[in-house]
Amino acid sequence: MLALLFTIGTERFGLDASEIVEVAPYVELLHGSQPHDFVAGEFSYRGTPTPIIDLGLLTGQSACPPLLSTRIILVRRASPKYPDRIIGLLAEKVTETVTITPAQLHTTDQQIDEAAFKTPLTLDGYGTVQLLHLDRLLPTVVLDLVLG
Amino acid sequence: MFDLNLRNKIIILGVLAALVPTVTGSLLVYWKEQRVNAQMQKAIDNYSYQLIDRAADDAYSTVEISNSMIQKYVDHSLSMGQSLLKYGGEVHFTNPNVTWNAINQFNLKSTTVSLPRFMVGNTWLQPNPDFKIKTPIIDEVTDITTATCTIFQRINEAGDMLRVATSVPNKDGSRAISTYIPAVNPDGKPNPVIASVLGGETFRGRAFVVNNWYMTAYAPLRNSKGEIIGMFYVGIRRDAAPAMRKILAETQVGKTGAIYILYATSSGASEARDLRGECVISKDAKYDGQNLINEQDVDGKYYIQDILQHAVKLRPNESGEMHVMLRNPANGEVTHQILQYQYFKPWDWVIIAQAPQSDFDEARENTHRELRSLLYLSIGGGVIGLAIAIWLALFISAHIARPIAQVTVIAGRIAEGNLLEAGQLAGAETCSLTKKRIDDGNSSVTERFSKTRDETGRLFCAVRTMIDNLYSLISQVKSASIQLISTATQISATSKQQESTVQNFGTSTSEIAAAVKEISATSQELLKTMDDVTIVANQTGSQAAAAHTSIGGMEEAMRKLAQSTGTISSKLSIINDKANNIGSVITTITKVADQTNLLSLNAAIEAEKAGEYGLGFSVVAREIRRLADQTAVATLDIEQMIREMQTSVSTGVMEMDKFSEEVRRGVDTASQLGQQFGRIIDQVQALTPRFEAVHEGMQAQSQGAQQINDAMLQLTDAARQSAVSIREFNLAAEQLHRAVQGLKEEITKFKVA
Repeated sequence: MLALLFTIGTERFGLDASEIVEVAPYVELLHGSQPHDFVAGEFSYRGTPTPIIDLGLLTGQSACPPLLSTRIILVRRASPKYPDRIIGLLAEKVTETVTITPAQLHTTDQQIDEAAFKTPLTLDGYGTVQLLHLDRLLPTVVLDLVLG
Repeated sequence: MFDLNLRNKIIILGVLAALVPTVTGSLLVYWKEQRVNAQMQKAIDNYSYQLIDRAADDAYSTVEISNSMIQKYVDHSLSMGQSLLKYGGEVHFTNPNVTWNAINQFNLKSTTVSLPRFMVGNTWLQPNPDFKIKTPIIDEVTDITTATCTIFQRINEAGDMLRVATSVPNKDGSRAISTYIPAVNPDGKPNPVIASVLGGETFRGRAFVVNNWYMTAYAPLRNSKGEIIGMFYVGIRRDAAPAMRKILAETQVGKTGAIYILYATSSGASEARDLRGECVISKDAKYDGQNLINEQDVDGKYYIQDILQHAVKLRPNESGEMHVMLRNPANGEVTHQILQYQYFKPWDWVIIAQAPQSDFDEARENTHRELRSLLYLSIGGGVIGLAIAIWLALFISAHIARPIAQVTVIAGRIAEGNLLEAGQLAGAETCSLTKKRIDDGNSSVTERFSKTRDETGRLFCAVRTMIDNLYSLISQVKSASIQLISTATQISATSKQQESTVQNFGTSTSEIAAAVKEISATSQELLKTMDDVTIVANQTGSQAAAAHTSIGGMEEAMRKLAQSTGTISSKLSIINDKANNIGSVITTITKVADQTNLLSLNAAIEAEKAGEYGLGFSVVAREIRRLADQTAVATLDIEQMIREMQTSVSTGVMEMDKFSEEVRRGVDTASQLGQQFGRIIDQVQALTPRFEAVHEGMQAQSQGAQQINDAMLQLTDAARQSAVSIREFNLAAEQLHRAVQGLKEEITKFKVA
């Protein structure tokens, strides 16, 4: 599987490409009435107002700096309340993709915590990359909060 | 209209007041003088004519008196003679006859007559021509009366009278007997004397006896029968009256004029002598007996003839006047003579009073002189008056103007802020310094001004009060002045020290004199040293010139360096600009790489979504991303390099700036150095000829120069002492200066107040 690599705080993360709609450049965000601190703002994605979640703030770390490599990762999410909505995720150093083989995916010896939103993987040439689980990072509660 | 001060105006007023009457008086005197002179001329002329006329009158009177007196004397003599004759006895003729050679006294013709003896009583009057032999009666009469006396004997019926006895002298000194008076004169007229006597009358009057005019009386002599047989004569020579002659001859008319008496006619006198114009009496008997009838004036006029002609027509005491111009034969001088003449008919005399007009000029000149002196006196008096007026004007103007001038001066002093002097001038009471000076004259004048109660006095008091009020402010100034006095004392002490230094100078001088010989030797060495010094100076000059040239080159190089540095700086700044441009280009490249990366990411994601169909595309996407990454890395490298380059360039620019600043300073220093070297060269070059001059002077005056040189050492010592003293003096002077400064400030404050 293809994973998009990015950084949150000090850790390197990877996200399954099938979950990604598009990667958009960091643009000036609209600051409306933010439902939560980790919501960086909104931007218009193909005519639809789309909320942006700062992953740094969401994971309890510092906000992402406004750099060229800081980009918005657009993902499709759905909740019972809001089926089929696109949400922007703000992350750093969004410049690379990596192909993760199934062997690599299953070589981890670690106990996978069901509650954990990341799974550490060891990739050649990249070191340790945390595989991000969106459904765990953004549960329905959070989605409703963000989208509402 | 004129800018004159009060005093000058008063003086001018006073001077004019004196000047105008003086000038007027002098002019009047000058004008009057002309008129008075003219009048004086007239008056003096009148006076002179009158004077001369008076002289003529006086002479006339004298002659008249003489005439009457002589006449009386003749009468007296006649009666005396007649008495003597009567006493002698009766006159009569007796025989025998006496033969007479009778001579006519007029024409001197002689005839021989025989006449009886003429007897007086019993005495015969014999013919006696000799005065040594006494003739009776006749000589007695003459002795008693001094008059001449004659007894005539009647010759014939006609009445010719022969002198038979006489005391009248002839020219030869004998008795003039045997002459006779004819009864008829040569002109055919009867002789007046004979006529009177034959008529029984006594004849009185002048008569030409023998050869002179006599005052005479002829009385008839009768015999017992009463017949006139002769006549008795007494006579006195008219001009024999010596007193009259003397008076007339000595009469002075005017200053140098005199009386001249001439015969007017010759009637009745002898034919042999023409008496007309003959001078009878003249001054100093100069012309006595001369005939002046042909005297001429300068024009050749016979003025005496004119006078005689005119004089006989004059009545008694009437005067004729004549002006003649006569040339003095002695010195050829022509004088204006005034002649007044009268005619004394009884004696046929023309009395001429003559005086030169110049005799009366003196009076006119005196008058003229007096008037001149009056003019000078009036001018002199005027000048004195003017001087007095000027003096008075000065005094009065001083009296009026001086207080005002004083107040003006005081006001001027106050205006200048010179209050002390103003106080002194005004005699203000609070000024203690002024009090001390109150004794001098100026202050006493001031006192007088202030005591008078007129406007000036009140003005003075007001000014004085004002100064008193002002003076209270001067106390501060006073304290400053005390400091000044102490400083002055210090100065005086220093000056004493200087005096002693001067004395040291004196001893040094004597030492110099003593050391002359020693100095002489040293002088030679000094000459050599001077030569060395000259050489060294020349070397120094040439070296300094070389250095100057080098400095000039250095300066030029430095200037070029400064220019190059400026160029480099500008180049560096251009590089910096370029680098900045490169930076912007790199940013663009970075953005492109970023976009490419983003594109490749999305492409890869899309390819993944396409599954197997997207495999090839994903390879392309990966490749694209790899290129983008390489680009990004390259740009990063470039960015890094550019940043380093920019840093280097800016550092370089700063270094360059510092460097160029240093270069500029270097250029300045070099140019200063060049100038200093230039001056050194100038001085050294100036030094060389001086050294030569000194060298020559020293050669010429070797010994003297050496003396002086050595004396200089001692003098230097003394000078050092002097310098120390002077330094102290300077310190004192500084203190003094500070004190004066303080004083000045106080005064400035005072002025403001």
